[in-house]
Formats: sequence, structure tokens, C-alpha cells
Amino acid sequence: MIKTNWLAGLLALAFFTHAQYQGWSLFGHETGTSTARLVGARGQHK
Amino acid sequence: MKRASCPSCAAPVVFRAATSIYVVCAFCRSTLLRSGEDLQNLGRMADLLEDSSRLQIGSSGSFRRRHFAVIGRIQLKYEAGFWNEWHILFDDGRSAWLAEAAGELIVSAQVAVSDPLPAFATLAPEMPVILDGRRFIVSDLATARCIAGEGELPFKVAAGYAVQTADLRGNGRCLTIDYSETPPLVFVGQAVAFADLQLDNLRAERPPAAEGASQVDARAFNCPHCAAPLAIHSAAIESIACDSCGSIIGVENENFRLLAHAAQSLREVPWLPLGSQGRLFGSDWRVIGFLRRSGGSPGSDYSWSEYLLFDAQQGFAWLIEDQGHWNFARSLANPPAVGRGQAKFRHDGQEFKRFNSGQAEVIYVVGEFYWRVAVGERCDFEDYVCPPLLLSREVNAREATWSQGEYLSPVELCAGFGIRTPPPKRRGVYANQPNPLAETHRATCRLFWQLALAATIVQLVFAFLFASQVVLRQRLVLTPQNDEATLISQDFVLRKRARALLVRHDTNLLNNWLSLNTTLVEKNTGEAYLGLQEISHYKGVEDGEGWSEGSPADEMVFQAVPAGTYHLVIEYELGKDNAESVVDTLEVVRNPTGWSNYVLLLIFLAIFPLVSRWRRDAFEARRWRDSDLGDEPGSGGSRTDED
Repeated sequence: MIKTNWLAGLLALAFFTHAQYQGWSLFGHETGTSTARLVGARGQHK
Repeated sequence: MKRASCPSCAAPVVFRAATSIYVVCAFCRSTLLRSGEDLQNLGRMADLLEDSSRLQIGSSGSFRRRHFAVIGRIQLKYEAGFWNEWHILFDDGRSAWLAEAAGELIVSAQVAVSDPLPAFATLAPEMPVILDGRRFIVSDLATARCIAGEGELPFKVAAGYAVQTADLRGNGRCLTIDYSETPPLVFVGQAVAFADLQLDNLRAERPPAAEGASQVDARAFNCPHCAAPLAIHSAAIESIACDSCGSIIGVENENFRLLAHAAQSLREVPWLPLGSQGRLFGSDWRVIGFLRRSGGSPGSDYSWSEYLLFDAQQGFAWLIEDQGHWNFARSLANPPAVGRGQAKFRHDGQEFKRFNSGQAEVIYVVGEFYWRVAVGERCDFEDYVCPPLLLSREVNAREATWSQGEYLSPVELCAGFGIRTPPPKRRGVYANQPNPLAETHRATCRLFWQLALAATIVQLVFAFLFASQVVLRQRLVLTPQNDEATLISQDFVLRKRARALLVRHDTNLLNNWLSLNTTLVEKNTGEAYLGLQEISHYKGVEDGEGWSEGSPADEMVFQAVPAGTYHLVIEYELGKDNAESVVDTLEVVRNPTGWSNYVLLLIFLAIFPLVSRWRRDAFEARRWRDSDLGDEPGSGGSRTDED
């Protein structure tokens, strides 16, 4: 039982560290991964 | 010190204590009375019973840093066995008594009491008695009979001399009222551990028995009713129940008397046979008696088994089997002062809780017992638990006794007695059964705190060592348009690849909505990353109560953004619900450290101790279900769950 807890806890900690490194957030609004090459831009500097 | 010669055998005799009037000659056992310079021979003293005491005349020790020597002994017998009163002489000339009964040692001395003493006939077990402002509880009432004496004694001792005594306990003191004289004599003493007395010049310990050999000397005889062979393993044995015919035989010195012949209709075969030998708690025990008791809650037909164990060094102990659960129990030398029905109390630093009470009745006996056992013998009992310990109080008309049991797993029992057959199956959770899930819960809690600490360190490392960096902060003004409008932010530079790039809009939007289509554009390569956000924020007052919906701020994250020079192209559409312009504070943060993951991890880790706590409490609920104080008070004895 306690070994299972250890394993699950360590996995969770590892996943947490990785998520922090990647900047993942369950509640954050992530943009799509799609990228494009922009030819021109219209608009103005403020 | 006075030296003289025995008038009977001329052996030297010594009076070391001024208070000693009598001395028993160590060679011819003549009882000699000191009369001035002469010694008067009063006749031969009866022989002492052989016992396992390690004390002897000439032993010495220390009590409260005062050295003493053992100079005499009286051996007495009462219903529950026999005990020794050793006459001790301190170096300052004062004498006292060292009582030794069933492994318990009490040093006591005679005291003067100003309060009138209660008559012996008026006393009852558990009765409180106030003497000189101190409260004592009657624990035992006995009529003892002197067996014999030896050495120096302050009064005349003769075999068969009857002594009525009342033992009382209170405030850690033992008080004995000796009704053999008028007015009664009062002795106050204190229980002491054998090791604390620092005894010297003791009798040699008996060598350990060879494997398979009996360690005790048994006295064999035949049942007066059916002639079946029987044996007595201790001089303290008072009665024997014959296995063959069920008769109960009383033991009086060298004689046997039939107390009840073939009186037992119930026949039981003890699971642990009489004569079995095993090693438990560091001592070698022999099973010499078995009895079955019934009782528990009023009206129940609950019953359990009790095995009487004997060891020549340790005296008596009990093995109690109840629903497949085993307890090893011994009489308590220093019982707690607890009123009947008290919910809980502390004893030896541990808290005991009341578990059960009821009346127990002996329904079957076989083997040897240190009291006059009888079928139908009843007592009131109360059990207090502090797993793995169980304190039991048993009260009858003559005495109030306490015993302390310790839970014994069937595996330990079988290992101790070398039994290979499976023991009775355990049913339910026993009163003092250790909760195996308690340690699991403690370990799980330790694990939670360790992992929580590690997670906190990781979080702090990300927050401070891999600190987030604001690469752009710009104030934008968004004005209502008929169509979509576009803004381009200032350029900002990412010197290294960003694992995450957070774009945050913090607006003063009120009662309106805002649609944002943000494109992150690398200035040189034209690489673009697209993101869409909807912000709406409404609030007002309805029926006098304020309400709010949505938020004026929002953020989104671009993942794995390479190094470069970037700007944001923001296409927006502002709703028509509010005609006012919106001020937007745009913020771009490289590698932001979020706290939501940390909180989520802590919540996840907390699940483990919560589950282990629930399992531990479920075990406790099953334990207390069978208690008088449990959820089902009437269920005492109706254990049905199997392990």
C-alpha cells in the first residue's frame, strides 16, 4: 500500500515538475499549436 | 545484636533486631522465644512450602536509598494462593515488611492511624475508606492462614493461625489492615519493582529445563471420584477440575476433598490442551487450567475461553480466547483508582477507554486453579481498552481485581506453543486488537508531508531561480468600431526560447464584451502564432442585490516560442452594449510560474492520507460497534464479520 503511494506520489511530483517546466496549466488558456507565416500586417502602432 | 545457642540443637541463633522476640532455628526449626538472657523453646515450627522466591534469610537490598537485610519470613496461604511476608531490618534499626505475592513486591511498615478503623465485616470490595484524610479503595478481603515462619520475627507465629486482612489501594500506596489483633494493625506500603530493590545474596535461579522436560515439579494423585490420574503443578493450587468426570476437587495441604462430583453437564475440549508448554513474553508457560465463561451484555449467550498458565518463576497468567482473538493477561500490581462506569482514564501514561461491561459466569472448568473454582461462579466485569492493551476489572463479593491483557496474534501464539494446526478463525475486530491501518495512515501522512515539501521546493525553484520575465507591458485603448479593428504592439525580444509565453489583457471593460484575435509574429521570419480570446464583464444591481458576471481580464499562453523579435497583431471587436472606449493593459510574460499546478498537486497528494484515514476509521468503527459505547449498544457478542 505504502509503496504504491510512494510510486504514485513520485510520479505526480515528476509530472508536476515537467508541467511547471513546460508552463502547462490546467486552468490556463493555451493557444492552438497552429502557426502560419504572415506576409503582411495591417494596423497601427499605439 | 544478641547471639545465643539453640536450646534444642545448640546451633547458633542471632537476634539482629531489637524488636525481634522470636527466632526459628535454621537447623532444627525450633521456635525460640527471647526471655531476658534465656531462650525458651516453644516447639518445632511447621515446614515452609517450597516456592520460587529468590529471596532468602540474609538477602539484602535498598529501599529509598536505605540499606536493609532480610531477617525473617512468614508464609501465609489464602483462598487465591499463598504469599511471603519477609521481615526486613534497616541499618538504622527500624524494621518493616517486604510482601511478595504473585511476583508483586510491596514494602510496608506499621503506622498509627488516628481515625477509627472500619470493622472487617463492614468492608466490601471497591468500598472507599478515608483514613487520616487519605482516600483508599478496598481491593481485597482475605482470611489467610499461616503456613510457617523462619528467622527473626517480632511476634509469635504458628501454623494454621488465621489472619483476616483487608487490602486497600489509593494514591499509589498500598494499605493493609490486619484484624488479627485488637485494635487492628495498619501497614502502609508501596509496590516496588524487583530491580529497584537492588537485592543481593539471592537464591540461585533454577537452571532452565532441558528441551521437552517439565520445568515444574508436579504432585500426582488420583481423582477421588473416578480415579483418573491428576497432577498439581504449584503449591498455590486450591482446586482441580477432573477432565474425565468433571468433578471439582479441593486441595488442602496434603489432602484432597471432593467439592462437586461429576457436576458439569457441559463438556469442552480445550483447543490448547492442558499440559501444553510454550514460550510467551520471555517466559516458559504450561497450560494447567481451562475454563469457559459466558456473559457479556445482559441477556446474551456470549462465551469465551480462558487458559490458566503457570511458570515457576513468574507465577500465573491467563490466555484468553474470544472469537478467535487471543490475549495474554496478568494481574495488575498497581491497579488504577477508577470508579465504576468511568468513561476513560489514564494509566501508565496511556489513555484507556471504557469498552464493555457485564456479568461473567463460569460454565465449564477443567484443570488446576489457584482458587476454589466452581461452575456458576459470577463476577461483574468492566473492560477498558488502549490497543494492544486491555484492562479488565472483575468484582465479586470478596475482591476487586484488575488484570492487564495484551493482544496476541494467532501467529505469535502458534509460534510460542509450537502449534501447527490452524487456530480458531478470527471474527470481527476485537476490543484491543491493534489497528494495522493506524501505522499505514501515519506512514501515508509522513509521505504526504515529504512530497508536499518536495513540491514546495520545486515550486520555489521555478518561482525564483527560473523567474518569469515581463518582456512587454503596453497600454492600449480599444474604441468601439463598426467592424473589426487591428492594433500592433511594440516589438519585444526573446533572447532565448520561451517554454511558455503568457499574454495577459487586463481591461476596464464593463457591461460589454470584447473579442480578441491575437497573432504573435516574429519580425524577421514572419512566423506567426494565433490565439483567440473572448472577454466579457457585466455587473449590476437587481432587486437590491448586486451581481457580476465574467471578468475584465484574460490571459493565454503560447507554447515553445523560439528566440526572436516579436510583436503582437491584435484584431478586436468591441460589443455595442457600451459605447465607452476600453483601456487594455497588455502584458507579455516569458516563462510564467503558475500556482494552479502546485495547488492541484497538493490536492492530489492529500487524497492518500484522506483515504488511509478513512480506512483506519472504518476499522475503529468496526471495533466500537461491539462496544457498550458503540453505535449498536445491543450488539455486544454478535460479531458476524469474518476477516
